[in-house]
Amino acid sequence: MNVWIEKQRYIIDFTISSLMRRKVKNIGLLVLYTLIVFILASTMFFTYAIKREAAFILEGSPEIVVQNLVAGRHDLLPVSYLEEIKSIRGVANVESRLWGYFYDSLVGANYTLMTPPQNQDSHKNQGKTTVVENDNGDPHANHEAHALFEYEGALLESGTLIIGNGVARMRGIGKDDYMPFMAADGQIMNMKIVGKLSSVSELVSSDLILMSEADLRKLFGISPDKVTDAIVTVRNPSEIQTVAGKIKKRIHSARPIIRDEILRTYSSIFNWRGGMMIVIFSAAVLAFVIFAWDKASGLSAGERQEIGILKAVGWETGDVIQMKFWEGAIVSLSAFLGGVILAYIHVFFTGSAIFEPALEGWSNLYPNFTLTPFINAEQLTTLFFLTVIPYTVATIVPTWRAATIDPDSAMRHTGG
Amino acid sequence: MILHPTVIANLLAAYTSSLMLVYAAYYGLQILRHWNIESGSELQLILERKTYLVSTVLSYVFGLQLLSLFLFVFTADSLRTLFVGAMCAAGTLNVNAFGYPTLVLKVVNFVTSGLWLVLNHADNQGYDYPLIKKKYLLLIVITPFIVLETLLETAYFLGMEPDVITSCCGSLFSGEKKAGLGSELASLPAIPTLWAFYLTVIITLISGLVFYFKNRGGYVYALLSFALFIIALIAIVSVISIYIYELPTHHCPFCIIMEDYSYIGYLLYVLLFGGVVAGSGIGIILPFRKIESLKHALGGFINKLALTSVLMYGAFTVIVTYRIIFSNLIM
Amino acid sequence: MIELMNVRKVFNAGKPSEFSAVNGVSLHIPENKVTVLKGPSGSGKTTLLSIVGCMSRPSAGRVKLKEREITSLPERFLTDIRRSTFGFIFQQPNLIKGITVLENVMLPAYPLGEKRSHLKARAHRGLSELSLTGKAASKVEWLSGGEAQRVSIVRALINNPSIIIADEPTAHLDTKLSYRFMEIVEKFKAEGKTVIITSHDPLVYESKMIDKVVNLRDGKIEENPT
Repeated sequence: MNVWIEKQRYIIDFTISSLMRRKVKNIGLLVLYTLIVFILASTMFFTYAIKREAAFILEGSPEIVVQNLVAGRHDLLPVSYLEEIKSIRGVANVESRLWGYFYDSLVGANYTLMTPPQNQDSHKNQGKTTVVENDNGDPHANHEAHALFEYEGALLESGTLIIGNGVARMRGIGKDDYMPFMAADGQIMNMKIVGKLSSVSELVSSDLILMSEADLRKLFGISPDKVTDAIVTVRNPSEIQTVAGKIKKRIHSARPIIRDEILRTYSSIFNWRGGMMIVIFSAAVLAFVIFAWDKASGLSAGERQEIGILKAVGWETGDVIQMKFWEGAIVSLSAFLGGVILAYIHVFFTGSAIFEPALEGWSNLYPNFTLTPFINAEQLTTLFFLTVIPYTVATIVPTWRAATIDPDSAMRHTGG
Repeated sequence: MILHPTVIANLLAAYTSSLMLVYAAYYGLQILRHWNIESGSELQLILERKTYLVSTVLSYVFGLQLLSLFLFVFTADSLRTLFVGAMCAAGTLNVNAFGYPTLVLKVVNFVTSGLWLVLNHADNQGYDYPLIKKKYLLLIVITPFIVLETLLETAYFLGMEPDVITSCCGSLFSGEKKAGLGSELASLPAIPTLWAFYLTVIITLISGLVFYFKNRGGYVYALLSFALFIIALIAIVSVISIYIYELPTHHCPFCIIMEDYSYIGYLLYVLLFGGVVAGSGIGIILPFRKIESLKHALGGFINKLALTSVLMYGAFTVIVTYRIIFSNLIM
Repeated sequence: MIELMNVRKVFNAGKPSEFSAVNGVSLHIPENKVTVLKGPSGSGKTTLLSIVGCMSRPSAGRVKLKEREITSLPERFLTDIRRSTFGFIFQQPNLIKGITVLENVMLPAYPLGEKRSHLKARAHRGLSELSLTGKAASKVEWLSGGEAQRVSIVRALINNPSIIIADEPTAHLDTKLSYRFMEIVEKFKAEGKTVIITSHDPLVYESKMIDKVVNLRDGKIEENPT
């Protein structure tokens, strides 16, 4: 065993010095390799972090949202439905929600306007609406409960607003400023800002504006017997499916949406996007593999001579293969580590500076958030499989070719 | 199908393994057909060089097989969010008929390619390639299984439809419902299974030590170490898992490789797989120790295998015992 | 010590370019003697030397080393024999550039996994014997021709071989250095080593310490050279 370890040490030492002697050739390869890892890792870190962020928000969303459909489209929900739903067995609580989008032509952005959640003060008791609380049945859950957003004790009354950071940034306004809105009946409503939202995730609150119920009804012209939708809390989490079914049966025009469905759908979409990105980048990986193959098989005369000398002085084919194995391992490991670290910095500290242009399209109020650093073993293993394995496989045959150079070639290259 | 980065990584690994193995098997066939150790012809020299290529390829395939086995379970676990009712890998593997067969084949292929490497190493000790034909015959037998595994894995991932309601590990491996092998294993009485496990461990380790020191009972040890492998797997499902999870109803063999249990499963499975490859490997090469060219070289190698396997099984038992003793679950 | 029986080496067999470099050579190389393989270039000297030195296998015929049949040994075992039995000195020093003299000298012992301190001590001893102590840490590019050859000799001796093989050792040396080389060969002989040299340099094959001269032409041994 000691002999084996000592031998590997000799071979590794020699491999490192041999890599250093061919800096130019190897640095080119290393840079390209690192770049490939960097691109794939950035994509992956980004999609996983966003996915987690979204899941995090959705965990805090209601178990069931009930919408009203009219002619197959989302419509306002009559208040009378609320009682109907409440009477279903297994329903713990039903709350109405009022919210809508408002287009601000001044900055060309869409805000989300809503009334503050009714149970902001008592969220400890009925957690499902504003509190992130993991499912008790889930063995992986960590039992931490925190409000999705807070507004630091600011008191919201008629004629006042609480705005999200994105809105404040975009309009360049803050506390005690005024913000005018044009209501549905053409009246101008000048509202005073009394506070800003702070949030664990800016993704939630960036474009949010909170206002009182009366102001919101006036702004959008919603009659008092209608609400936007309803959220339903269920006593026993395992009955959600059943309750949703019952709602659909009682109220034909209702569309109950279960939180898990949303989670799955989002998860699916993000996976698909991540996968698509990988497929697109696989062309780059393939190009790199061809490059690596070419590099590995195109031995320079110097290298050929060197391997010939090694074999002539008593290295065996297996020893040369081992040397080449270490060479690949060293190159792969440095590129992998380098690429991953660079991608980590890129995604979590520079806010994906390189990806930003591609992402900014979807909303003018794209939150200026730094993603919570999140990498796990799954991402790293996947990355390893997608980058190191293609490289390794591409170099097997060239390695073997190099290792089987005739030992007497050292005698022959000078003739005689 | 699900286009997920990790799924792509799985398929990439599977196709790479298959392609490499088919490539190696092609040269294996050539070697079987044209091998003539007496000849100094160029063809023979080329074939001898190809043996280096084949064994390098097989070493990589073996490593890849181990990595991809874990990656596969890992993937199944991370996809659980897409399936109603799937709470861990056990549920996800059940979303269609190809999940479990793929897993079983992965384990089988890992063990057989490990055995091939053992045989290869033994053959390399002899100056006249004494096992060359057997070795390449085995290679040609292994190849279709790896290809089959790739096809099953492809079918598994392509056939995945998110939101299909599947049973989760709670019902699949819970003793209440009697359906499928999983629940039958789980419903084995815990304490007797534990006794059976320890009894097998003791017999196997003693037989291993006897073989190591007295050089007797090699075949017995090879058989026992294979039996221990199977019994240990059963014990994991039926009893060891519940001590680790500290939940008397949670029988899942996969959750132990997750972060929540500090990845202890990796260690346990690596020890177990290592133990079976080294232990059964003895049985594979014992018949050849009488061969003239292997007489001197093989003894040391067989001893090393025996020691490795005994140590790995020993470590496995120690860790399991530690977890059982310090578990909060009292049975 | 080494016995060749009707050895042939054919390249590109079965192709139009087929040619046999060595054509039915039978030869006995005695122990603790200096044997010279002499012949013009293309006479098959180097090919024969590579067969004798376990670097390649004959296409036909038998090779015995110390009474052991080694003809059809796999490369793995040939290498094993080669590195413990033979030390090679090539026409060119064939040193690896970019690493130190000491590392070059230690290179043949790397696959044996010997303890580093032992190996280093041995390498230093070898270097001092050929008065190269001061050069141990130099890169090989900085050596003179004579120094480079002496380094390659130290390298050939690192595994303490019983047979030294030298392929045209004086081809790139001036007269003074060639004599110096022959002195080293004499020392080998005194130490009980067997030496095999290929050469067409009269300074070598007419030297008085040579015990046997084998004349090669067209891959065959010439019994009565003119």
